[in-house]
Amino acid sequence: MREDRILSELEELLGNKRIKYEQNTLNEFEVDYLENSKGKALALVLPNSATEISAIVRICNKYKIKYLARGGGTSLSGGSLPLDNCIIIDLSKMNRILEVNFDEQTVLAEPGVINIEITNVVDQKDLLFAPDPSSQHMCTIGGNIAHNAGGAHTIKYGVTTNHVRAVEIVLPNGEITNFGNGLVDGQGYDLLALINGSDGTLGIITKALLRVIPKPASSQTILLVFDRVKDASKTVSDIIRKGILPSALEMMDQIVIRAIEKSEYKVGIPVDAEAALLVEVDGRKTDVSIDVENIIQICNDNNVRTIQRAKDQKHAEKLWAARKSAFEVVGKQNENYIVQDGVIPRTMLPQTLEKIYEIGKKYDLPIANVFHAGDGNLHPLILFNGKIKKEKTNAIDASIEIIKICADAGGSITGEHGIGIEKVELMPYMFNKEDIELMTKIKMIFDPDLQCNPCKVLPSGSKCMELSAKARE
Amino acid sequence: MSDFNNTIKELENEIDKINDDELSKYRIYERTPKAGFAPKNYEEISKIIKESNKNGLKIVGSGGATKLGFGNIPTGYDIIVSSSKFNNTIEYVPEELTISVQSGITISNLQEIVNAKNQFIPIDSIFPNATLGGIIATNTNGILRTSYGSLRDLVLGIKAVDGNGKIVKAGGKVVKNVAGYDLSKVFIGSLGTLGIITEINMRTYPLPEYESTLIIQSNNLDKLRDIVEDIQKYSYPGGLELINSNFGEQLINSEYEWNLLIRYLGHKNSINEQTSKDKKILKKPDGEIQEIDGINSRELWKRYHNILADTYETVIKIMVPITTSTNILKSLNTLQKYSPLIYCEPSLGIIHMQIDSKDKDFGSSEITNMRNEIEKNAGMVIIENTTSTIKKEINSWSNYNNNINIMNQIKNAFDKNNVLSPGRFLGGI
Repeated sequence: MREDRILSELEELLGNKRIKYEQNTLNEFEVDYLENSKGKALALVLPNSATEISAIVRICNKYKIKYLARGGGTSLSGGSLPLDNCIIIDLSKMNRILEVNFDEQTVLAEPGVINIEITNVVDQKDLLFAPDPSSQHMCTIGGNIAHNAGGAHTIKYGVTTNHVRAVEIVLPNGEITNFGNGLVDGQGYDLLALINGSDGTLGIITKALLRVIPKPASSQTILLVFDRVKDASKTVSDIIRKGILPSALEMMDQIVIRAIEKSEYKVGIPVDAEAALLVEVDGRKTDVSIDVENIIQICNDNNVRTIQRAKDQKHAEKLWAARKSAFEVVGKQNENYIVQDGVIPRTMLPQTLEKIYEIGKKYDLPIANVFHAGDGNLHPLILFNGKIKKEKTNAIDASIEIIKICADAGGSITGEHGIGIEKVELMPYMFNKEDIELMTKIKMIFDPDLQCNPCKVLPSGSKCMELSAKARE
Repeated sequence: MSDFNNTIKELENEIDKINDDELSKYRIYERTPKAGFAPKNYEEISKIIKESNKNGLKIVGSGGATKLGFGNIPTGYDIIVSSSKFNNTIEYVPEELTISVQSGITISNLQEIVNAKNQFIPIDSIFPNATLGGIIATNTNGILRTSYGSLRDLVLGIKAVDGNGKIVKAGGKVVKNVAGYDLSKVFIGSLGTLGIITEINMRTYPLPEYESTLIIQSNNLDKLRDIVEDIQKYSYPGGLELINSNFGEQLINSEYEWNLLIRYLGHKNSINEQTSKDKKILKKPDGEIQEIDGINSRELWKRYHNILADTYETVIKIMVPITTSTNILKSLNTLQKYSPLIYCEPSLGIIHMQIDSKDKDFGSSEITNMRNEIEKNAGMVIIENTTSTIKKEINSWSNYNNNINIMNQIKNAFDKNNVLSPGRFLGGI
């Protein structure tokens, strides 16, 4: 059988310790992070190098078997969910930091390096790696690039693509090449930018040259609590209108606040408050003081209930840990959830939240909201009981309605989690037939046989639709 | 030939033509287009492109015609398509920190529009009538790149008509957007080879209240390099430029070999504090430190651009690992006899050299020698603009050129008959 032959060739290449194909081992790798979907893998392999990955890809080509790369498996859009009997190329053990260059302000890392490790390794020289998704203690660099990961600081510092100088990549034909040359500028078409956010569908990253930046001289984190969502939203708009560019501007609603205050991450937010904002400003000390003064003034003009200024670094970290725990605490305290990742123009925040609450009422499901208010990137968490089939389908329908609102408002159906498997059918809300055809042409340039992370990002026929639907049942 | 004339006549009936006596403005190294058009809408652009596809004609797009000399000499050049009628603002909501404009808007008009709402866009061209479409096609960034990033960080979305005559939408209108492949970035620096850019969505930023520039002059480049290293760590300058004696003399009557300009942007109190501190604690440069602030600082940077615009002749862009910037600058001293204007962003590893190469010995062999030396040491040398002679003799692009196969296929996806800007790009694309 074809499958047996490929497994034996892979075992010959890697030895029997670096290939797993027993079903009870594969089970945990076949579910996505939220355990809402289950796919199907043929085997999991653990390569150590680009050369091995190239050989694996060539073997897959020979037998026409599909494959995908996996880092921390934390994708919230099913990006690392194997479909169609894939070989999972697990890069979590390719996790060495190869070179740190403080003078050039770069770090060369293998794709399995965990995001926070990059900042850790340059911290001694007051440098940091800006992209900081909330999963940064578990997610890996390869996945960050694949999804063009964001985090809380994108309003000022951008997303992953703004912090990658070059990648080494195995293309779907097995060739090993580089995109970007490590210099700040290059020539030719920006293939490096194309790879960022391609959800691992154009090749497998084997090394990344990352840019690190100086830590700001000064920063101030402030927690602001509001009785009414309306006042919190207006505060967000007013801050931007005043000409302040915060380094972070996050919002949490009542369900999230209550979940945090019930957990070990609690920070003393009154649980009858409708919304809380976590703001951070950074830069030169005097600029920060001026910005903070202005923010306090704006809050007072908008009926703020309490203002909690971080007294020191430790206090600031505690406030941030609370915010970043949102998905975790909501997840623990509820059976299941679906999280969406739509983006809306910031000025439409108040009416969009209203609509989201209405959708929750319509489907009789609670929807918790935490989001990057500074750049309009929403994360509604639709809570349901996975044991009740109707609730699951309602949750999916609710999440699609929310995405439609974002697309209709001129935003995006995904700000940072990626299309993955989850939003493939929603692509037409943002792109017309020609746009999708063009993206398909690009995909075919890299992967004409559609083997690399199949059925992700682009609508690719009825077989994929069937497999995706089955995975999410 | 008569096919060509028929095609042009047909297009002329519907689309505004550029007068024949104005076509010389669009000359690219001895090649002048045979006809020119200034379309007003998508149907017109698409028609020009589709007819050109049918009849084997070649098109170059142009905005302000300020950098048509980029890239190699086009292998075909029949029609110029100007964006002069595509220069409106489509949507601007300052609270969103984004703006949507048509590609023919000049950078100076664009800044005026956003300045009126206390915002700005941190890119500039040395030519105020450069258009945003042209700026993107040539990847022209500017002085504030050091702190605000490049076009790759500022462009959110692009709409274009591709070489097949189809409308292409890439990216979107919001800062956070990972839906589909990020094709908007592929247009940056693409020199019009993928499409005629028509609309652009950009980030905007709050307009800094105040600015000041410290000018540190020295004959000792190593001292200035040490100062740059310190500054980068804590001072957050809005701009950092290292300029040579020829440039310094014209800009500020400098008598020193090197001049480091540090531009600060932000609140007035904060800047005054920072510059006072920096003047005291920066390592001694064996030279002079002076400060120019407020409106005088703004004027200084305008003059900076004007000088570069006036001497825009042979322009070479050198990119090197950041830590080798000052060593490369030293090696360029051997070219002093050609009186180059040299300016460098030392925290980015980007150096530009402008030389008036008419009536001088500076030519292909000097450039090739310099290129070989620099590229041996992980750098890249691109010739942005120069004389026809030099453009004919050597490749504008650096020898670093892998992945041409993929790039060719991308070009093919957007422009299957190679109608747009043929031959100017990397790899002969």
